[in-house]
Amino acid sequence: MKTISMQRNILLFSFLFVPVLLLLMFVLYPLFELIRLSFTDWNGMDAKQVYIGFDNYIKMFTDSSDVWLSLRNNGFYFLFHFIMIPLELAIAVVLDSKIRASKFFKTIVFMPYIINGVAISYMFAFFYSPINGGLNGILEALGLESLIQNWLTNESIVNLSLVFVSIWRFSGFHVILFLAGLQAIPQDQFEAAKIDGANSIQNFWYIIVPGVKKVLEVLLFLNVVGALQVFDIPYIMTQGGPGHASSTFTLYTLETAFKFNNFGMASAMGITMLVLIIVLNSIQKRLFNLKGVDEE
Amino acid sequence: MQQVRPRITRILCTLMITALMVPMFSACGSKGSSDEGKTAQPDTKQQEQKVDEKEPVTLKFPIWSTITEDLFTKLDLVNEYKKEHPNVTIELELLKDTEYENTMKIRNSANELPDILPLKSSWLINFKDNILPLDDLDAAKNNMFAADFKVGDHIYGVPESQFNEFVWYRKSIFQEYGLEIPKTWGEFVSAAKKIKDGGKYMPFAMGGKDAWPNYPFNEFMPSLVAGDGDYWSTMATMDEPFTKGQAFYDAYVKIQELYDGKLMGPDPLGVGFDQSKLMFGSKQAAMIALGQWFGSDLKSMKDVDLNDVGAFLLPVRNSESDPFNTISMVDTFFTIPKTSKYPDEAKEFINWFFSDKWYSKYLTEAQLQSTMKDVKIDLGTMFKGAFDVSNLNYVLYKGGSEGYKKIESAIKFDVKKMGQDMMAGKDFNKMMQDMNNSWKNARSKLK
Amino acid sequence: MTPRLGVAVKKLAVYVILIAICLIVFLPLLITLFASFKTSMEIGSEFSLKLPASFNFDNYGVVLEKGKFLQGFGNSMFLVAVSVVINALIGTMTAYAINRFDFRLKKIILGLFVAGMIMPGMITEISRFTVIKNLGLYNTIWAPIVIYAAANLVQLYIYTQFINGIPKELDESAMLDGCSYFSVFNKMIFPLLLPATATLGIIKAVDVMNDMYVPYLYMPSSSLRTLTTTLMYFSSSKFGSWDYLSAAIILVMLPTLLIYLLFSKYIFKGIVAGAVKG
Repeated sequence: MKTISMQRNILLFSFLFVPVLLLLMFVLYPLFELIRLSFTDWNGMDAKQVYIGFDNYIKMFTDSSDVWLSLRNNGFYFLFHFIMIPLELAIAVVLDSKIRASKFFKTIVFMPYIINGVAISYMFAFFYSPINGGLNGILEALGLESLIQNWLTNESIVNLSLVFVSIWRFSGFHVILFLAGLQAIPQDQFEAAKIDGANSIQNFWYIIVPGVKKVLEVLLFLNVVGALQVFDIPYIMTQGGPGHASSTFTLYTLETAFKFNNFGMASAMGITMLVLIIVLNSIQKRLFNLKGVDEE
Repeated sequence: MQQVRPRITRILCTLMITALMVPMFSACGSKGSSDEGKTAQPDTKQQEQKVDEKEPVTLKFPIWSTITEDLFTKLDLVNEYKKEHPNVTIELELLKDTEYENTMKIRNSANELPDILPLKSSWLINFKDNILPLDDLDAAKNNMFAADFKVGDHIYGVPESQFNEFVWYRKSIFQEYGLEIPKTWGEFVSAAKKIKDGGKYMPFAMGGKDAWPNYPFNEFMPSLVAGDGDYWSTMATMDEPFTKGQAFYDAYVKIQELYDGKLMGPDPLGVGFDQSKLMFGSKQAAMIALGQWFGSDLKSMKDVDLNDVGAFLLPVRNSESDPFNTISMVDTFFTIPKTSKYPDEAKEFINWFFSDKWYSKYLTEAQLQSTMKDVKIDLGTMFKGAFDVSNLNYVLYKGGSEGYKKIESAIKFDVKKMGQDMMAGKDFNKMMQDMNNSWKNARSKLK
Repeated sequence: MTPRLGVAVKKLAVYVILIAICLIVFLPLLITLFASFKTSMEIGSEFSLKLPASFNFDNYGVVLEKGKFLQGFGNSMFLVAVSVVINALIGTMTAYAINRFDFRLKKIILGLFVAGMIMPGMITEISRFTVIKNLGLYNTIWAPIVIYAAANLVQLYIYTQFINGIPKELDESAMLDGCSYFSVFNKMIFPLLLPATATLGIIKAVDVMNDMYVPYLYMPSSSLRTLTTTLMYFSSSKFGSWDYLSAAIILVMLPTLLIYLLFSKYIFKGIVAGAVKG
């Protein structure tokens, strides 16, 4: 008995030593630093860091409207990805049914996810460009000149254009996750439902949705994290412009830190984002669970 | 059997774990000694190296442009240097231009700056505590501009090149519309309008999407109107520089005239720099405003008839009797970080780079003007006649004082973004008013 | 409408939607592919979906030579291979320890994994850089490997889901046969996790292949350029041009696409197995 518990301890130590060490170095230490710096006025270069209490936080909430504009833009990503979730599930259901060339379609749908994200952003920057750009050229060729837009520079459109890129890149991944969920639903459930005379809508609500609940939960979490951390698409395609119209929270944080040498403030923004993710995710979880309880 | 197999697997298992952990343990050890141990170690190392001069030395030298890399390759500078200094290896690190400053700030926080650190003039102030004064360096003494960019009492960087800002134009389009090279702002705008009215060409190519290509206007024109290359520092002493009658305001009224006149095509904001370059190259646009460096870009573009391309200085003055102010830019300051283990070798390299032998070859290839007293560079035919204007006055552009930097970061003052806003059609007067308010506000807070 | 016709219409609609999705996926890719064969003048003046005048590989030649693509490919492959092995070891071991045992600090360790996932990037780069430098890994190929090995929540999640699916009774009976915890892991758990490992390996490979910022920041030495940092070389804001950049994009995409098309069967299988257990 004693040897077993000792064995257990040795195993836990040896198996967890490396990951925990990595966590300490790459998560805990940076996290502490982030918190510490958020209370200083450090500019990123000087040796001196003066502690200024909650000034950064206060200033962030009272004095910089662009932060909130940027955060609103994050909201776009969240919202549209959220709206896409049912669609993605529908596509997964279609791909899961016995259709011809489903393998081919699956391969295509998932493909954008594995392509280099930076390359995608460059590609779409070209696609949206007004001079000989892909999209406007296609619209013209189709005789839809009236739809031609300044996709990346019209303040009221730019965010939608960028969100589309994000959807293009990630939706396939979501579809495949749903597909995985669907295939794990035991076939006999459907057969039983068939015997009970259930139609396809009933199948959807009573078998499919509960069946992919786990995936749904993961997706909702990924959506919050992803939407709040959106960075590379606007960074490469518009640098947050025109003005700050397509800036995101992370992009703005970065600008504050490096371009305007205010690392203390940027750290405070980073902490705010962490808190936001945790809060939003727990709200979402609660909503989701409540819904689940209602249905059951 | 049953007895043996677990043992084998146990051995395998421990082996695997130790294999995985050994690097981690050793890594952990070096981390433990990090703060005190690490700073002590390099010192002893450095001393050893000083004792034996021929110890191999690697100088890390980051650059932010592929053109610099191409020039180094073409002139084979790394190997040429090695011939004269067999123990020294120059290691070029090509970094991304837009990320360069961030990268160096991150590396600075870990004391991992390179041995030679090229900086733009406006970054000198930020890095001043982390780089060595170079007042005694020969290259600095013989440099015409190094002293103009002192921070405090010291020279921190030796600028590589000097260049001017031009409006590049297609000669044939100007001929087609019977246009002369403009000598005043009014002539400039009306020439552009004439081309626009012709309907065949875009008067001006502007890569507004990338923000930075509007710098000849949004960044430089206040200095040009004021005739003061250090205008940012002057602005930092004013409460409301965005008021009518002040140079900034007057310059921006002029710029607004350009953007409002749709002289840069239907959507300059949707065009990236690369496309604007192509529009000029393929003769869809008649003019493009860019620095002298654009000459080497043009040469590298296929199918561009260089004989059809000329350059003139952007006229900002209202009448020909006013002085013709034009920007003189000094760029790429060679500095040496304090953390460099080989400051002497780095200094030696900078002196070598700025010596007659290589410097003039390098700049001739780059088509830039010299910053060194005795070196003259032949610029070729593209700039012929560009400098033949009355009352020419060079305005040496500077990045602004520490006071300006503080205001800049407090209100996130960004003229290139303002340029984008102007192109997007934001209300000009409101913009200026807002700027005045936040400027004044920031100044009162910083006092 | 007879039911048969209804089914046919439904089917048609499904195919129309699927084909539309394919078009949306392919159009930007096609435009980039075409651009990679065009000269900068053609790109600047012609409709983007027009076939290139000729399929000349000049752009590819320049990119291959200037970007030292083969060297980049070698470095990327090394990173992928080592990262996949290390992550598989760390991932399975962590998941086993966390799923099968109860111990103090478990919650904290899990919390740290979550924190690692939601940490703001970029801003914490200064701390990470200090760590890497003090480990003596800066400007070595081991810097990204260590970073990729740290705090991978998704990996841990999938592995623990998977282990959950392995009945505990199996462990117990093996222990009764005289196996130690270590040999249970070695003989049973690790092999049973292989399908998940295959999937995670592929996902990790794609991640590593596509990551640009970490190799850029931590391995500036030109001999350590990877495929993606090579792409950066052709995209600098002032000097990049579309003809070369398109060719570079295509070249960077090719290896991952090939891996994907060759292994897509396993990827799908693995995700099915991995994502939904439990």
